[in-house]
Amino acid sequence: MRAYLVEPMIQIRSLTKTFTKNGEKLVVLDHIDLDIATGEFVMLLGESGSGKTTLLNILGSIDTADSGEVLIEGFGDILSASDKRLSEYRNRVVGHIFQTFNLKKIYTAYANVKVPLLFGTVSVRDAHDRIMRALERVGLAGREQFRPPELSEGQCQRVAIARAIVNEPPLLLADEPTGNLDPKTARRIMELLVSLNQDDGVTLLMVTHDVSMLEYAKKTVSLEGGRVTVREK
Amino acid sequence: MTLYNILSKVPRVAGDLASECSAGVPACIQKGNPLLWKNLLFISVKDLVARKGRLLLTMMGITVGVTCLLFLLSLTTAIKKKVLTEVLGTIPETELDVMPLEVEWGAIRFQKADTPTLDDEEIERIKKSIPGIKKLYGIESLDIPAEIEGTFKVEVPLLKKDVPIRGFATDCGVSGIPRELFLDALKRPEEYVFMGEKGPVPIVLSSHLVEMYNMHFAKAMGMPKVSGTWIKQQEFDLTIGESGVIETRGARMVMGPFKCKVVGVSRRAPIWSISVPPPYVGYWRKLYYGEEKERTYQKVVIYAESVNLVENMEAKLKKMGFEVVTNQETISKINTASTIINALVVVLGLIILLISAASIINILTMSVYEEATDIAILRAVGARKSHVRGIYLLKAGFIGLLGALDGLVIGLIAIGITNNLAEKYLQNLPYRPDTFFLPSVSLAVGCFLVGLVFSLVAGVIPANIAASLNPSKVLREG
Repeated sequence: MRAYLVEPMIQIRSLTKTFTKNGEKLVVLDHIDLDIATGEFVMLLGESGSGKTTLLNILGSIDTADSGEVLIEGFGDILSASDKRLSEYRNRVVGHIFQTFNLKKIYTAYANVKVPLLFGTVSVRDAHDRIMRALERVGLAGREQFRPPELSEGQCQRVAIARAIVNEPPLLLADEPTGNLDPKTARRIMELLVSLNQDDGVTLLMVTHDVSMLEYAKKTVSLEGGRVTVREK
Repeated sequence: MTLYNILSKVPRVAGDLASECSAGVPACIQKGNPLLWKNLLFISVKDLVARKGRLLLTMMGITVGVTCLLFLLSLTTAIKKKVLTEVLGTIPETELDVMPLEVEWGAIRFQKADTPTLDDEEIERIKKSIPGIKKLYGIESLDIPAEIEGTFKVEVPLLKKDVPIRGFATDCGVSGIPRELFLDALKRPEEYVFMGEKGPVPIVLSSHLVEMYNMHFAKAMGMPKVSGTWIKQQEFDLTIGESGVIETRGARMVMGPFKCKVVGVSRRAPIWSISVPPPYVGYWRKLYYGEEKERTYQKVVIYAESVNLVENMEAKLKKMGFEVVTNQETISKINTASTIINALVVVLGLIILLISAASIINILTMSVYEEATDIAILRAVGARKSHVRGIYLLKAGFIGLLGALDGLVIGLIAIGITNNLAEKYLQNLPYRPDTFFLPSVSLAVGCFLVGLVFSLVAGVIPANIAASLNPSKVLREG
């Protein structure tokens, strides 16, 4: 076992998040505690509205919590960090993968992958190398100049994954990345994600509804009634 | 090379990051991005260019506003310059025109009873009691009816001589005006002197009269139009003591005709008179009345030693019972009128720009909501609120830049075309300027900046809406 696997990369402490809908207060995360070690592949399970995406968004610092702490090793508590530091955290530490890919249709695959680098500190030459490596890593070498409408859904998701890894983040957050794909394409995408986790050591948190995906992860976190249940293989 | 290899070269986990950074902040985070604004510009321009139709529509308002501002301000600048330099420019700011106070009774004007008559004695009194007079000229008016008569001739090159085409005769006034007041209009000032019985009598005509003749009389009476250059050196006959409109049978005598020669055309010459050197007035009066008569002046032109003295001198002269007109007053009135016209033009341009700014706010806000997911993704990959705000301000700036540049180009083309058309079709316009528009570099830069600033200010609202979007909410709601 590699040394970094024993260190908890993420420590969630007493995290609480509530939404107000039609005047009614809805607690989606109720004082949850969770540790995720470096290099782990964690599946987040739960019914719709159970708080999976909310938890992922809080970890990705695109959403805030009502209370609690989310400690990222070497960075500190992301819930109390400034906007400037959080933007740097999102740019450098986390990569996001979405169910609907969220690619810009007017950009080529190359330009879509380039977007995170626009806010970083990578030089122009390094940026080009990184984009080409990321596209090659997801199996899209030679498709740099294709725009999303010219690509299949599976290829679009690969572009989205390339965008997520182009800044070489240690943490990937995937929100139902196979939800819009046919089973065959979904399997290929999962193989790619597993490869990123196992071969490249990227910590991966993935939200899914599909129980067939559970075979890929060693750890599952179920969310129900605002509480978490952790199961490890 | 695998991504593992790539990742192995950079801090892969937060723990590793901490080891090389102070206070747990990654080294890369501590550096700034010198290319950031270039990158934001890349995003802005790429988005705008992707929707060319919308870009053109958004730019149009700024283009129209800048075009209107440039066009109208160039026109008013040219008019103002024409009036100030060509119409009033011949009259210095240090000049005061002093006249006996008059009262109006219907269409008839009377000299006010208690007003001193402008004679030599009164002029001496003015000289003594008003300090700061540099020069003083009395303008005499001949108090005898006079008629001018002549024939229009056209040069026929084939015959190598002038052929008479139409005769004319008209009553006129005769004013004795010193040469010093016509120096700008006289090509050869030495011609404008008292010639005694030898003649011809040198006369100066009013350029307003020439313009009015060309515009109205020539057209109505089928007479040829004349130019300022042509009319100089023309000769006419002046008869003193005779009039076409007043019964002069009881007049003492009819003198002349005296041969007259036009030696200049001036805006300073009285419109209904022929202007002659002052000694002629006394000479003809003596001939007519048979004795020297006391000289009275229609007007006295005073030049102050400096502009600062004019106001004080004006007050003193008015206190002495005279009517005083200063050029400063006229310039000030023209400036006020010009400022009001300019202000109206600017208000019109600003209204157009305000409408276009509202359109920019509307279209950009619409695109913020259309691009909400893209904005959320930008935030998710590391864009700060200020970066998103910057992107939309740059978009607004880009719209303003292109719109204002277009406006300048279209405005200058419109000015060129209109000027050519005006020169072609408005040749007989009174006080016609050399150019109908005066677009200066400073005016163009000003209009450009106004367009740009309006666009940038209009971008603030959509930029703030974009920056305040909640990425989590946007991504959740799709």
